[in-house]
Amino acid sequence: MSTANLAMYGVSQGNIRQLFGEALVAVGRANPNVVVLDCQTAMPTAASLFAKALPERFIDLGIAEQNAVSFAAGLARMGFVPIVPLFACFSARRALDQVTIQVAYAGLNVKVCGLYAGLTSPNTGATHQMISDLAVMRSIPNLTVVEPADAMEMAQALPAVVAHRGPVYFRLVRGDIGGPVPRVSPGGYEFHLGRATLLREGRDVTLIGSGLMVSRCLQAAEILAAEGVEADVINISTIKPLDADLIVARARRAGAVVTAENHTVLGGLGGAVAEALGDACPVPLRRVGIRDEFGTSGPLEELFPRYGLTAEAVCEAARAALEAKK
Amino acid sequence: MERNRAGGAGRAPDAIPVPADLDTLRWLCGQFRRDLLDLTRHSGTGSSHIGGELSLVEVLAVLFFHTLRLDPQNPEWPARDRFILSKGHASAAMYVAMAWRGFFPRERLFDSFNRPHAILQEHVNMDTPGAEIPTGSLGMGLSAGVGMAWGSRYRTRHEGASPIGIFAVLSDGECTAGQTWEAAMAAAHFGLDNLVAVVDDNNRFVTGPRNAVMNLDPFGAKWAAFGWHVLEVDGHDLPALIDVLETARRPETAPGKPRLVIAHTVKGKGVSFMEGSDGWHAGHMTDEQYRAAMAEVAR
Repeated sequence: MSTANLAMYGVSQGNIRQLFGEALVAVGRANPNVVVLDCQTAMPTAASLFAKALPERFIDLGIAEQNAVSFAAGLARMGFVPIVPLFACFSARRALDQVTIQVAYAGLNVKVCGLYAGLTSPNTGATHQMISDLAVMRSIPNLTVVEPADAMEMAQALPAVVAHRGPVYFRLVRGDIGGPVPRVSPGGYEFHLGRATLLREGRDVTLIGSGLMVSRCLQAAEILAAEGVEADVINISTIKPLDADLIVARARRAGAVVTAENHTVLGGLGGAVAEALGDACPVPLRRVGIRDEFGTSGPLEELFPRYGLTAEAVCEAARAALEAKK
Repeated sequence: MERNRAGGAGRAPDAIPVPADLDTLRWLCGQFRRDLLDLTRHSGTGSSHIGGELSLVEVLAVLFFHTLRLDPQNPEWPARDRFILSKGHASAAMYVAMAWRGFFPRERLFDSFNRPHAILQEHVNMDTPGAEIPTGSLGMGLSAGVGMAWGSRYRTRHEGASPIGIFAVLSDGECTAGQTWEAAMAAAHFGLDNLVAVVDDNNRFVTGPRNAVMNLDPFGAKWAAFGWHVLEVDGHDLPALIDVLETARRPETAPGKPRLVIAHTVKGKGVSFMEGSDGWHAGHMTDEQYRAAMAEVAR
């Protein structure tokens, strides 16, 4: 990963957790109305970097996520831009009523973050593994839903969602375990809210990933190429509003689609793509993700294959979609 | 259907001087109660949460016509006091007060309540000019108020903004909600003495007397133990309400402590067959009930 590229956005090289904390500091320094609210997860989210750099705009509310989100809504009404970097299980589940009513329905400029998303809260098990946040959040009117795929995209996406006036759900993996989040964005990449990126072009099947599954889709495309199958790879970093134009255009061309997400296969990226294709271009679709079951505690390297979040799972889905296309 | 919209001796709402004198406040309370019955009668669903609206009339009359610094012509005036109706189901009481204060034409009370996409919805939301935050899922309003109070103090300390008051009205029922106490703890922790919470302690939950449903006592002592400065008042006594709200908003009253005003009220106040009755948390009036209620409040 290019240090120079990241430096442009005020962050240095390192794991995505550290980089998220640095990105918070960068947006805080750039915008005097940015305030960060925490619920005793500042160390794991690296919001602690913001607390250290800008302590007068850091608010620790204890373990009170509902209060934190409503508090943030009140701050937004006072002209602040509150960022609430909580674990996804707490921001998207514990505080869902508050996010729905006082952030999304109110149309307020609050940036609700869901970190440690999907299986990337591995040791904590099912209670903390938020596998349904995309499904829930994208079904709420007014809410923009973003999940960056690598550090470079995250470092651009955070300032972009802060600059965007309105409620946002910002999803991120736990980035300090299971090795660094591989870089998927090409050199010179520019993040645009609502725009998906075609990372690789193929003619046979379109692989659509979000978050950490984008790198698996790229790996799968390599494996498939060796089998003579040419795959598109799309990074959907804005789940909502969905870049349906790109998806439909590529699906029309390839005639088969695979989605891949660190999330249940119900209602998230796979659901969003299925809806878009159903409306405009019904083609065979296979969805890779967690199959309607709860997670479990364990090391990530065991959890990923157990729940099918691997390049091989994407390849199998692609083969099945190609078979269905015949 | 009858409809009394005389509007009180031809006075235009925006002509009422603020702060209003006691006679005007008394007169306004009668107007509010009559308009609440009419609003309920003409709402798109034929209903409102009338019991907990009637209990709030004096509190809101004093807030909107005496205590709060507002500019109805410029509802987003940055230096305004903030008012949050955390008991968002009693929205109609706030709408009536706001209409009389001049935030929108009084006609809207009778043609917009519970009508699709109209500005007056059963639960407070951002479509109403001057509304600060959606409420109605109970327990959320005070938290938003704590955020506003923190934000206002930040603007004062770091940017030289004038201090303002943040006022939130809660129901007694929503003091059974956990989030209310999360907010209470945070307000005291941050020393937000610019925050005033008023509990409309009408002593009735939806299904019965408050302490029979869930014992809140010792109620004031709970708030005091959380670090709040607690005041109590007869919530239908206008001079007492004026005094207690002015006391509550003065910084020197209790430096560093958020303020709680327990307003002892009667659910359904002013309509004898609704007073203290469990049937009027939310209700539809028959023609006869409407006429009987009107005869009492228009006396």
